Amino acid sequence: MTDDQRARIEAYLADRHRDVRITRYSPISGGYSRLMAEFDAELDGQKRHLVWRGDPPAERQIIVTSRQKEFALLSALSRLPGDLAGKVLHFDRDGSGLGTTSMILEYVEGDQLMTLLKRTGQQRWPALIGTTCALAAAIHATDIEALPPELERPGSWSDYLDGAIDQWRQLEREQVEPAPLLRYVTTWLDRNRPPPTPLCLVHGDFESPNVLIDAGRARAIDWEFAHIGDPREDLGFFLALAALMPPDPTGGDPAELCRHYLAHSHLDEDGVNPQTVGYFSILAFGPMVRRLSGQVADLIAGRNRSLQTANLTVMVTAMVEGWVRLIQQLTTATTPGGAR
Amino acid sequence: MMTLPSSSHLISVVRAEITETLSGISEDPKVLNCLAMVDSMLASIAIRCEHEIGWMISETNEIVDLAEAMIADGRDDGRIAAGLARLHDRALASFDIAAIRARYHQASAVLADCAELALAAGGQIRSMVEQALATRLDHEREIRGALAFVGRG
Repeated sequence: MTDDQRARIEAYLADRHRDVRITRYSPISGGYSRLMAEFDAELDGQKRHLVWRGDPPAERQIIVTSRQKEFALLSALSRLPGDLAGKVLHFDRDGSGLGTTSMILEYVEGDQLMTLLKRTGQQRWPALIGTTCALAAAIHATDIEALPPELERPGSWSDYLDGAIDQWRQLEREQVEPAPLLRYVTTWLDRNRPPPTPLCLVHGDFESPNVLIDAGRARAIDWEFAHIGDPREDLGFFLALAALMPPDPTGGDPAELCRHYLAHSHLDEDGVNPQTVGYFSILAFGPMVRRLSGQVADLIAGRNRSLQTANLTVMVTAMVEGWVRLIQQLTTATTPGGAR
Repeated sequence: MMTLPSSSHLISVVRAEITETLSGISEDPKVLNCLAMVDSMLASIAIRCEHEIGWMISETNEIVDLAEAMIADGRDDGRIAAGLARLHDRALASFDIAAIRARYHQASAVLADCAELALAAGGQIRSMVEQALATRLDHEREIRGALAFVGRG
């Protein structure tokens, strides 16, 4: 497979560039959703460090997302100032050239935030959070008028939130068995809506493995869940994933993340605070868990045979427990005297 | 019927064999991730073999008590009583796991309605529902064991 794919990529590039030669090729393991490899190539007389990113076969997909949408977004971002993501070179829509629907992108140089957190002393963590929050704020400041039509625009923040909560209702309905914990979470989300903020570009998978830092500057990878939404989604998602997959650079203190973010954002403390970000630590997971639940249903029906999907069914219960605990913490924090 | 060694014991033997025989045969991250996921799954299957039936029956009984308390407290909008009636109509026809699971699913549907209504009610009723949800979370945590996010950066 590795040699076949390498040869396929080389042939695909040879149809589009002069003097193509792949000099090094290495599959990227880890990550749950896409087939990936990074490689060095000579194209048009230049040395390039590139990534192939493609869809796995349907029966082995854990989460289905659109490469067309990701390609359109990355293309738009590459035309805007800010250098938030790697540049995209090619898109093979039907997989006729690369074996599966795929993109060829520039490799985003730098260390994963997760790697840096593991490698450095905790005294450096505030600086890393600052760099990460600067990236988040820059993503959220992107001119949404310049983004492609593939990214759906909600009519208003209320429409957006109604839609986001409806994702949770649908998530519960689509479960293969009754899910009282999901009903509890969904009901709480509906009854505890935060104040609105302006809609913006949201990365949608903003976690430490997807933040790459190079010389004090951060860029994001894996934009497949990007959409127009509420900026607090990325902050909440980041906090939730850091708690699930340490190290957590905030040490479990959401106020630290909020403080760094506000230093780079035009939003204020009424909008971005531990309570509102806590709300989005739950809300942001609806679409992603829905996609995953669909794969679990396929697993039960025999249409999906992925061991990763089987493994994730158990892990989702850890996420649900985290949401329920957080609801109880937020309820206690916002009720005078902690009573409910 | 042979009951010993138990299913969970046999699974622990399989896990040990996989670890001892296959560890070190490859440094390929794909192979290592795959083995780690297989081991994680076997560990959680072993816990389910040991406890699944008992947990489903005890949770179902707990939910029936909770639902009756919510009806008595005037917190029902009709859904809990209807769900409870369906549950009472479905006496266990056998102790096969499929029959127990089907009844557990009906109880879970009742608990979902209880959870929705309890968040509006607050107070003691909410605490009772949260206790029933906590029981479920405890069981799921035991099934997960020391499961890590295998295969993730």
